[in-house]
Amino acid sequence: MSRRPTSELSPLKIDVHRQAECAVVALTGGATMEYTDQLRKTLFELADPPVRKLVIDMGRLKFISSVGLGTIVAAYVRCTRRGIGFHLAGPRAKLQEMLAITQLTRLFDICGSVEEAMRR
Amino acid sequence: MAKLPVDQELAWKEMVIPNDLRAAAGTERAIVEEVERHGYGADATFAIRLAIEEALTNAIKHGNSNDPSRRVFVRYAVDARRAVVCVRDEGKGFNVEEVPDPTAPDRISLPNGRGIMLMRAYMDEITYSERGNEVRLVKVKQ
Repeated sequence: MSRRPTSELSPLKIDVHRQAECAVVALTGGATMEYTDQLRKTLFELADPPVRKLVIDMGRLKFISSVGLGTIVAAYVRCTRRGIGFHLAGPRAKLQEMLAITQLTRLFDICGSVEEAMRR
Repeated sequence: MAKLPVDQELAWKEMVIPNDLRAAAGTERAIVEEVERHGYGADATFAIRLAIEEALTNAIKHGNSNDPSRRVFVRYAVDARRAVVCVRDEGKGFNVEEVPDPTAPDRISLPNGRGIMLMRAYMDEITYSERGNEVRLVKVKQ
């Protein structure tokens, strides 16, 4: 059996958990170019009342490109305009680094965990 | 048109792909697998994957304007010292110096414009052809 390369990314998996007026979107795998439309559709569908808070759980997200980051920015803008709270939770070190390089740390509320984001 | 730097000693591989994100994803995987076969570490592999993704996305969406009749030309060479990837589109090109700063206050909340910044941050060299329709990316193995 051939060894699975350690760099191989699993396709992006998007799980949505709704709890009262909060929505948590858990991303797993790689948000590569093939999956950006799917991510955008999910986030935009949630960025509307009755949702009052949207949390993106990035703890299991291994990769994202600038297009994926831009999709999250667009969802943030949409939420902000509608008065919906928007939080990122638990990005891994590499993704935290990308957020710092692009200075999106100035834009987003970045929490250590989903639980912390839910308390905000 | 000025020539990009030539790496005569490298064993180049070439791919011509349709102007399609799914086809581009296959090319990205092939190059990343080669990088991994040469023992590049996790950080370098992440950087190379990200830069290829950015270059291919720019070529398809901006350079080739999402035109399905156009193609993307990829040349790459990976050895134990460095990985070099060149991505060329069939568009009219652009001047990289004119790309606005995506961190400027009036641009930070825009959804696009961060790809070149990320390529510059994660690769050791990034060079554009004079016409601006080909980018050459280099990552040195640590």
